[in-house]
Amino acid sequence: MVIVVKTAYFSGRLFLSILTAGSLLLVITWNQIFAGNLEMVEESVKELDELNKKAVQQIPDLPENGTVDLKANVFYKDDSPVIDVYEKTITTEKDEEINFNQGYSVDTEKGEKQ
Amino acid sequence: MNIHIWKKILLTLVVSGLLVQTGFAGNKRIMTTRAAKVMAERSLVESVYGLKVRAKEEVENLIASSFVGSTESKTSATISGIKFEEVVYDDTKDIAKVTASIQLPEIVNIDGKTTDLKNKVFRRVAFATSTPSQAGPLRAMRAAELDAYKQLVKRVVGFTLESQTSVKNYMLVSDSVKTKVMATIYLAEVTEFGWHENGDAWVKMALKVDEAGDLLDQKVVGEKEVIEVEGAGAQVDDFATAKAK
Repeated sequence: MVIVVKTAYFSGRLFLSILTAGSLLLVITWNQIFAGNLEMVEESVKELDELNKKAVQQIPDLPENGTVDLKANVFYKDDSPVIDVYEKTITTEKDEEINFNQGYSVDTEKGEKQ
Repeated sequence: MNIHIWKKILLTLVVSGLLVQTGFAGNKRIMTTRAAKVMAERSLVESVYGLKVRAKEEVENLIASSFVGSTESKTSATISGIKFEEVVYDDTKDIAKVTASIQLPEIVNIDGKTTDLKNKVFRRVAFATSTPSQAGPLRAMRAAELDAYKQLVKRVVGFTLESQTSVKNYMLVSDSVKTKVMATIYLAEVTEFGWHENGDAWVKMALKVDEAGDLLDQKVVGEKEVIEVEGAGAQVDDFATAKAK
């Protein structure tokens, strides 16, 4: 009777050990078994950033600080992207004291003074 | 006496059960094979007649979790002359693989133009299953195909880029980047395909510029004779899991 109980006890422990080891192994190897789409998304984000930076760097007279909004057509020539920027808006930002006691002049494209 | 009768009844039931299992396989095999044939037909239509592809990608502040990417395809045609060269059915996985081909002198394509196909044989391979648990690799393969179509369209007709970028001390930071493309494409051929060890699928697609260049109303840029791309597709959506965190 004692032998039967001991055997059952050890069989149970053995089963639990195998189950735990198996679960751990599964967790460790899961990432290697199925890579998923996260890596692909990260690669796409990197490509989009590189492409955008290439487009922005084409614009002459970039401000030291500011924002650049652009629209471009991109096509490929011999495996390399060619970027044709057809619309751009550059907003310059700078830290400077604003003095209410003086007048300001605004240069517009038409050369009008306000 | 009674025991003997019961034994006979039990034996008859067991034998009948075995006979039913072996003699009547059910319709799973037929349905899976038919589905694979339909998939092969669609692939051939996409290659020969063409398809519309609409794709967009968007990312904010370079954070992968904000990435939104979608690719849609659409095609519809009445086509005859498709031959099924090989049908393979894996009984254990319930997956069918069908190789189909078509040979036509010419076809009116998705843009309504008559395409001279010069009796060239177009061949595509497709898979299908009726068992949802086995569909992972097949879904990954279709995703890879769509990714390859998208890349091919981007290479052939180009795409539009819209962005907002911050400049701080002459350093660029991409705040928002969007790309969009919508075009029709035809005569794209799958040259190779497969699955990596991790389960991700890959498809190599090629477009011969000398064959497609005259037909595609859109500009085909570059001097290469063949435009080749490789599409990728995943079985597991770990991006959604990472996004949820």
